[in-house]
Amino acid sequence: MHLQEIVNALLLAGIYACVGMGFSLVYGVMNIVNLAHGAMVMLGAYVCFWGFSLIGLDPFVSLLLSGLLMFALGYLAQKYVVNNVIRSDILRSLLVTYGLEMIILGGVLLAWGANYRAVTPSYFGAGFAIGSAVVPYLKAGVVVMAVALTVALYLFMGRTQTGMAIKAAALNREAAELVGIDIRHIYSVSMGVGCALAGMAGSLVAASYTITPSMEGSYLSSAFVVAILGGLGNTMGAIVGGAALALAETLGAVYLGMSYQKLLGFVIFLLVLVLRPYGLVGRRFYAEI
Amino acid sequence: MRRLSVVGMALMLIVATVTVGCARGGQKANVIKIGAAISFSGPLAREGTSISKGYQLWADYVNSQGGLDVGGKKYRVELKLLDDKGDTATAVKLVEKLISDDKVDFVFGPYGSGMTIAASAVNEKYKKIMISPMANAPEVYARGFHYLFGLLPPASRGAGNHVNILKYLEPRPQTVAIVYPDELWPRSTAAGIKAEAEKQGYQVVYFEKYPKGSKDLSPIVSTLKEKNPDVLITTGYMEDSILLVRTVRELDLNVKYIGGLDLFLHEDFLKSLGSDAENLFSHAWWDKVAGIKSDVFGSSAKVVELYKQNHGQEPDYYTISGVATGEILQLALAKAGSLDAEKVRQALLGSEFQTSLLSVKYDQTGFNQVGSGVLVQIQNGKPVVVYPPELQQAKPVYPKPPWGKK
Repeated sequence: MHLQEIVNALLLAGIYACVGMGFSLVYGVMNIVNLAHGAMVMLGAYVCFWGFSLIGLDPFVSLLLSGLLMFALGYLAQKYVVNNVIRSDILRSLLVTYGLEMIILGGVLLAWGANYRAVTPSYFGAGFAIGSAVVPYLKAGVVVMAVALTVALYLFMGRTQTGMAIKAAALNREAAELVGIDIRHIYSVSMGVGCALAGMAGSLVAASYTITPSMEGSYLSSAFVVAILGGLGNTMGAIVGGAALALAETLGAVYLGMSYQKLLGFVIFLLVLVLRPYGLVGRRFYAEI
Repeated sequence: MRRLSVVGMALMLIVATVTVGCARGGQKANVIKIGAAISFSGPLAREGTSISKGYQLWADYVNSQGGLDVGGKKYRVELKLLDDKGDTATAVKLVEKLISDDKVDFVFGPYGSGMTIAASAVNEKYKKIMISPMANAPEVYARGFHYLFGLLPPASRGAGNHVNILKYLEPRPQTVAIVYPDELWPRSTAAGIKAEAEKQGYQVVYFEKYPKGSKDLSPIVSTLKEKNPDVLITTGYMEDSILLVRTVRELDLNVKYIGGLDLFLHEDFLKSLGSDAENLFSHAWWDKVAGIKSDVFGSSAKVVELYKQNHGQEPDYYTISGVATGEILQLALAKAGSLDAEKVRQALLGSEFQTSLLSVKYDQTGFNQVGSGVLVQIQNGKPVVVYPPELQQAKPVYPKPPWGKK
């Protein structure tokens, strides 16, 4: 039995869920495909790296800092830039977020260069065993954090005034405005929360993988797949989407060979798009926004 | 919005095009234009940037000496470096642009065999010489091209050292696993190692590729745990090699020998892995302590010193290879006494040069045929030469102690 592979897949699912969650929120609420999402993950990873190497901040602590900083960045970007194009067609917002991505990427390259970096906390490499399978503490922590973030987001969306306003804005923009919701503000908050989640995902990614400016591309594509699989805007969806993608990639790699690692994930992605465009756990309502 | 796009454009321009002109107004000097497509962004940005610093160091040095000496005349060097973003198609387009629009006289290569194999076809079309700092997969030189010359000898000559050392180790290793990203150079080098290992009687129990840029190598490592080889060799690039070693550590796979190629000695690699880099083996074409001579600079140490003056830190092996690429052109031009591609080609084919990286002697295909480098092991955080025996600075530590027990 491939116990280790299944454990690996679950650990990877944690990362994917975190990366996909914020992307899904922004896409679901505002119909914006945030092409800068991967860049936000990358920035979060750098926050983690600098926090760790300058003042020895643990990745699980620095994710709060990444979250706050990325919230601010996302909020401001939405308020002053993206909100201006949101009423026009989707191509505009695509171009704007692509531009943001280029600026962040170029800025990071100029500021810190293309050096490969890594965060290695003292407990790196340590772990516990489940039967014959090894579970590194670090990755187990990532999974716990992914679940915690999902629950937090769920509560935020369902139980707070702001969360419900975001949902309302997603459901019907005009009606939301009629009942007194400040749409521009709510959109900015949504983008802020989406980017904060990306930043926190970045901190978690930094703890497990190599940090380099070019990392953003692959996280953007996984965010896309996770969001579609889980259902756009669906808070619980990301964790299901993340798990589905991680399982597909890991089992694809084991049974078909590493070269097919990505293939199976994208096959499932296409099947879901065709058969269940509102996602594995999504309801129709979200996808129709 | 308007302001944003202006800032964006400006940034893109800065990042995308690093143009280094050195034509100073007023004096009317002869100029040799040299162009290169190299990665300043994208997945190979680190390697590309390092190489470009080598190109630049060489050009600055030559200009500070009054220029290149060709047939009794002095020529200033003008470098034009464009960002290929690590993308093969872009590299091809840029080399085309450099030759047809910018009218460069010579071209220096991009990083790596994959991009070089494509971009050098443009040089062949225009009959312009390209000197490549890094490409050394046999496929690159097997096409009968006339205008492509490489700095490094065949990859398998260097990587084969990982197999050659095994017979000196006690207890003698029996089984070998080789993993590599699915790209031209790593694939052909891995195949070379496999052939050599089988020839020398070792059992290759696992030979597996993974997609370039893969973010999760745990499936590979899980399978490796089942195969339980004595020796693990990877021909991966920096990013995936760091990930591979970290995954091996995390999943607690204890092999007795972990070997990689030159990048294992790179500062980024060692810093990223910290104490987990202890006792890893690496091939090295260039070793800064080896006292390598240079026909242009006098010695390799001089290059290191010049670099330190400008950048405040030690150059890496990529930078030295960039410098050596310039040295080859300089020596060939001096010998040819002409800028004519055909004469320079003849000069390159017929001679042996000592660059600050290694010595160079070409066969008819433009492939360097001398040198095989050394094997280095990280011991107490420092790289020491462990193979070949005549250059050994310390005995190899084998078998590698299990993770976390040193």
